[in-house]
Amino acid sequence: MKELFKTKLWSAYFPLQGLYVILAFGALIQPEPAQANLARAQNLFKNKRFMAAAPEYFKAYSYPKSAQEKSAAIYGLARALEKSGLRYSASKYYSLVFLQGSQHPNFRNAMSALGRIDTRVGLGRSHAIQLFSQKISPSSISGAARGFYFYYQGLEAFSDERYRDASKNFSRVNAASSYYHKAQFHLGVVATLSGNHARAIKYFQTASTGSITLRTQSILNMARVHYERRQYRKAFRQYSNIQRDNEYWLDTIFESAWAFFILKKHNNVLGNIHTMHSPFFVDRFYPESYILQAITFLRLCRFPQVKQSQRAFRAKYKPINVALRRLISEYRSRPREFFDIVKSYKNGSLNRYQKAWPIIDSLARTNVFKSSFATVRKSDQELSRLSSTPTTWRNVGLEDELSTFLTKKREAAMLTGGTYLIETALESHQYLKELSSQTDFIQLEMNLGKIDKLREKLKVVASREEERTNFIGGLQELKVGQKLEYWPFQGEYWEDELGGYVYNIDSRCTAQKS
Amino acid sequence: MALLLSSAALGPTQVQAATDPHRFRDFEIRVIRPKYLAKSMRFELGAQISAILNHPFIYTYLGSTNLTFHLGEALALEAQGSWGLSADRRAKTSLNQTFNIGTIIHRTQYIATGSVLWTPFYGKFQTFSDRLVYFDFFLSAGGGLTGIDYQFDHCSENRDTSGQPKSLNPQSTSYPSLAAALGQKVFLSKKLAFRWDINYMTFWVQPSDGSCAAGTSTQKVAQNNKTQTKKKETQKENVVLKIGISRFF
Repeated sequence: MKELFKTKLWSAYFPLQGLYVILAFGALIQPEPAQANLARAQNLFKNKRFMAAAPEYFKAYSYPKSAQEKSAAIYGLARALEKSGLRYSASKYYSLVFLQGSQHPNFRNAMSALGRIDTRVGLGRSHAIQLFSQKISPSSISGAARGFYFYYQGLEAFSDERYRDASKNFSRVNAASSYYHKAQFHLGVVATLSGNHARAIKYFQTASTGSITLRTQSILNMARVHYERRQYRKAFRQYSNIQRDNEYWLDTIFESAWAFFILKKHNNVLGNIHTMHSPFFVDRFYPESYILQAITFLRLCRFPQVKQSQRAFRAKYKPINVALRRLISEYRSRPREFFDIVKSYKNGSLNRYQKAWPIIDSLARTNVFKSSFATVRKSDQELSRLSSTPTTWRNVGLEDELSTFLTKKREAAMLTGGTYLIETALESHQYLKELSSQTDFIQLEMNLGKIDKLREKLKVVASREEERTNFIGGLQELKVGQKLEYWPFQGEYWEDELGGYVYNIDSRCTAQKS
Repeated sequence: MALLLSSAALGPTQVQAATDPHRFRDFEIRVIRPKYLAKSMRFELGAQISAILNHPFIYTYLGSTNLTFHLGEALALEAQGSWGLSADRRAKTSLNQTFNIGTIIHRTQYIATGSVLWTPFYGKFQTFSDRLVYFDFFLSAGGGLTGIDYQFDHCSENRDTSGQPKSLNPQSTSYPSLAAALGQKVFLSKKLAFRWDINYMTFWVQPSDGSCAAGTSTQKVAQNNKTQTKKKETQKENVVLKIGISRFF
């Protein structure tokens, strides 16, 4: 038991010491016999009066006459809370049942319930991994919970870079499980890391039939696999499946700009970058787009524009870098507060650090932030619901206990999220420094007149067939006989035109062809 | 054989698709994308409600349909047909009843035309709800037939004892007509468009066709009448507003 609560995070989810204090306090104010409470609770539950049943179960759980009654009460409490719509709160008691092991009569049911809650509201990865950190025989896991178990086992192995184990666990997630598509996605990632691209594509294809987010991420990964294999046309086809209203859409525009660069489709590269630099995306963080723009102009021997891109990069990202440095130094040792900053940005209530907003925006788009933010939001929702529960909840101490649990869960999510966000911010800072050096390098080589050598470095080989293909806006291949519409860009950005821009400029290189 | 081989070898290069560098060539940045609604070699079938706007004494409403074949994005051939009914306006009734004044009324009963459509403009607009709507403007010119229904209700000899007009021997007569139109299609989807157009139609009638003599029972009298006044044709005009829906196939 001591081993189980060794980490701070774990104790945040299961503050049992606090629970015993609360229970002791509850004992002082409710001197009723436990058996009577359990029978009353069961009766209320049977009559679907879940809100009334919960405090009765809690009382029965607090004063057990036997281990059997206590077991029944704790499981009943978890069910009553779940039926009352307090899923996080229910997860606390289901977890306690689960941790008692397979000797608990409702061990399997508790595990299925935890899987169900995780699917609906997300328990948080740490919670799930901690649950399975104890040795469990897979045979003791019921069919419905197997997906939950193997998925998180796989995830744990994956984060430890034990890819074979990860693959083994992910493969054991049944097609009927709600974790199946997520497992297939991770199998795709493992296959990509192992260099098995064809298999990776198959896994991503299966995963793409899952949720909308999973579909988007699978499509992106399929495009990246094709990109890696230098199958650029296939990559474009995948990228173009991501629609403009998707939050990953700008990533597809940026990544495909690099693919266009390799295919020497300079007008398409510059068109994509024109979209990225539009006022619609002024707070998005794509510093590399300026470098790509500069080297594209360099390939076209349009040197004044190269300098212009470099100037634009410095003008935009120098103040961002300064603001980022300030932000990091201010919050490096305060991850929880840093999470709060990003959370306020996400909620639209942040009115400080304007210059760092592109960085904060990129942090707010990370999966870790989204998951922590969801935990915080749902904890807050349950906390606010607790204030409107019947007075008996307060009298028996149930409200206090749940409130403590939810607050700690919320704090733990903010802490882990904040720590990750600071690490990512530090990486962004390093990334900006590297890009700045690259800009200086291009400038220096140009000043020294080593442009030919620089251009030589930019030569990347793509297949001739791929190079011959022409592309229009929207990452689409131009087909023979296709009816097109042309709209000139006259300085006014139309939202529908984003992603459709194509430059109409020629190379100014006379002696050498890029 | 050698020619065949060389053309096969050149095949992929020959058919390589390319954008038109001359479209808006003065602009460094263009949007190039597939046309929202490509009409080339497609049929358009439409239904409209039409109203004739320039008749002071009657209301005329027609149901119209069109079948259009788009040869390209700009040119199309269209066949249109309309059929409808007319009702007297208050002005006509009151002239008749108060002042006992009657006049020949040319009630348009049907119109059939064939025309050539030219679409020189194509555009888009954005709604307040950020929805993008495409439209085009077209002009058309053609010819056909206009069918006029003569009721002879202006003829005093065709009134009963209470002074009400008798509906004696109404006749429908077709006249060759010329038509020109200006209209717009607003594309609601890639298959459906809201369409309105305003048509100017002109046709030449024989004044004798509507005369009271023509309304009498014997066809012979009418025929004689026609022969006598054959050379005195009068030009008539219809200004028709059509509003409806078109479906592209």
